[in-house]
Amino acid sequence: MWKDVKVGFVLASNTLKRGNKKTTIFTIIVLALIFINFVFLPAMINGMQGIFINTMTDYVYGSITIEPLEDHPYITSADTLLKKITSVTGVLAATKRLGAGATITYKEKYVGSNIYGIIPGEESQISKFQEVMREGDFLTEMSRDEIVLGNYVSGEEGGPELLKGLGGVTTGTIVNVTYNNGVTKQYKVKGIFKGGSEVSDTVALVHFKELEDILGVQGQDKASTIIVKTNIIGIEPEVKEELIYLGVKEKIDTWQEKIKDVLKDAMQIFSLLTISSRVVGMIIAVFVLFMMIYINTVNKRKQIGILKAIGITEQSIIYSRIFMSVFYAIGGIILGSIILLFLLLYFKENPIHFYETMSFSPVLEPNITIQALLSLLITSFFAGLIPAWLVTREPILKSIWGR
Amino acid sequence: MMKVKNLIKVYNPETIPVHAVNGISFEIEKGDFVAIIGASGSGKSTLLHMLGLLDLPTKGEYTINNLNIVKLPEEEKTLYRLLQIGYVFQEYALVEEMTALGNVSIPLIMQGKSKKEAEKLAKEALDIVGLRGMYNRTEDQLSGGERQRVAIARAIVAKPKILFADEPCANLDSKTSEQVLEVFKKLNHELKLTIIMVTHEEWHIKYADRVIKLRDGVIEYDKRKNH
Ligand SMILES: Nc1ncnc2c1ncn2[C@@H]1O[C@H](COP(=O)(O)OP(=O)(O)OP(=O)(O)O)[C@@H](O)[C@H]1O
Ligand SMILES: [Mg+2]
Repeated sequence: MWKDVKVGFVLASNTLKRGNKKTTIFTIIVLALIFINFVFLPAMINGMQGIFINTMTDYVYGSITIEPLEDHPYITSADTLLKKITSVTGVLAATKRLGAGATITYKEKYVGSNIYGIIPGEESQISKFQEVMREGDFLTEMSRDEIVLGNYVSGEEGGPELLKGLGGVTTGTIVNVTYNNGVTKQYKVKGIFKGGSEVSDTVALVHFKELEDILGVQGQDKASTIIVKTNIIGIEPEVKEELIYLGVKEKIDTWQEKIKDVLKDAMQIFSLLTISSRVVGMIIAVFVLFMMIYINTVNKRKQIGILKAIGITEQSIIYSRIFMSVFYAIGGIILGSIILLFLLLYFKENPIHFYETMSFSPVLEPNITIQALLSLLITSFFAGLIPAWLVTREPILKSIWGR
Repeated sequence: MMKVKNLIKVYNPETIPVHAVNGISFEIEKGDFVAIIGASGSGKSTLLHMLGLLDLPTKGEYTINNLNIVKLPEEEKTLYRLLQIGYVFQEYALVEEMTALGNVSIPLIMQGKSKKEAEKLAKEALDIVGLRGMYNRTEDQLSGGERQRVAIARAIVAKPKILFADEPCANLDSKTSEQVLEVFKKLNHELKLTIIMVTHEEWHIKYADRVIKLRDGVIEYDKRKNH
């Protein structure tokens, strides 16, 4: 056994040292490409998916959204609840919002929109509205009779027809807002934000107190939603568990749960893409690797026959082919990783833009990378083993002279 | 010690049968130096392949020291080839991805010798066949005769009990042929190595103790020479 391994190693190292260098380099390059193909497309999709996730978590929904139970218009004792929430480990910040449907009118034009009453000081830790102001300023603690509009609400000079909104109102314009409860009020546009997606840019924001007045709940400690931000992505389900454990009775949704409702189709397409690119990558990897090493081994039939004739065991020969193909695979993985690194760095510097405001870079998914690594190694093992096994079973003279 | 009885080899029995060896019987004692001669196509290589455990007879008995060697499982045959048999093919058969030294040392490594020791012995064997200084050449850097001599060195390096050589001197000039045959003679004398050598050349026969002539797959004559 040990002798077989040793001889296998000697044979493999001889082949690699003295065999056709071009074949070796070519094989390694092809394997590198297979590796990249396997890993890169999912990384792209992953990066693209990241935008959607950010869109979700950075504006309207946060990491976790807490809403009143059905049949209850509001969360009650919102401040007590907020205290409870912020005490949970993993929670970075939380804020309350009020929300109301409304129609916003300017001149002849009108749009339906959700208006959120927010606490500007707290929002800065939760959402990115104020980071993406296209013009004007964000709300302050003192903001009364002031509104900031999403880009799709205001409309934009030269923007797409479908998203004309109010046809391009600018900062300082007075707009009319008719809330769904019938209350009408005029607001001065303080600024316009542009997060780049429908999820963020179809809403409008006013001060929390402003909406309290409109809804008639001043000083009652009520809220429509509580938005929670966790300090890292991924722990949302645990935080939710903890909140339930602490007796929060309201409806709690992590962004992962919310995204299913909001971006259902997009997410389905993404997971389909990821799965299919993975499967295709895997099939290509297995097939090409197998074929290359198979052909390589079958071309070595004569040598294998000679080795058997002089008393070299079949096991040694099989080991040598396995060593070789695993060597190729490792070479391919190393080369592939280097190329991949450059690709990732390149795209980090030069993100891919789509629409105007969104851009992304590929993000390597550890799972897929490990999967690619393992499947390349395992495949190379069998791609070494199977043809060698088939050839060593042939009669010696047939291997040597092909008859 | 080596005994063959009614050995038969039929190629392509199903399609166009070729009766290459057609009932051959003989006994060879340890230390014999046997020359097998015969016209082209008379079955010499076919016979040698069977004796060297490279091919199976269609029918017949083949024993060495009363061991039915044909019936051995494949692994034991491999081991037998490694430890007991040296084989020189009619067409030199080197492993092209190995140097001369690699080719000659690999059976020794398979036997469990260290690489260092194997290479030392391999160099000695290469020196014997006159290839000193060509250790690190690969097949494409060697002439036909040199390749054949590497194959001979590989066949004798592990001190086998039986050496099969299928026209070992076919590619060699007469001087080198003589050197190689002297080496055979020496091994035959000193180590009691049994040698079975196929040859075309009349003058090679003088090195052998016994001559078996084949014709159409059967023995035409089997003569022991008196020195
Ligand atoms: N694999 C094979 N399939 C079919 N026929 C074969 C095969 N090998 C050899 N033969 C035939 O068997 C006969 C004996 O062949 P063999 O190679 O043993 O002759 P030989 O005496 O060694 O000839 P040479 O002196 O030319 O080497 C020939 O007629 C040859 O054509
Ligand atoms: Mg022949």
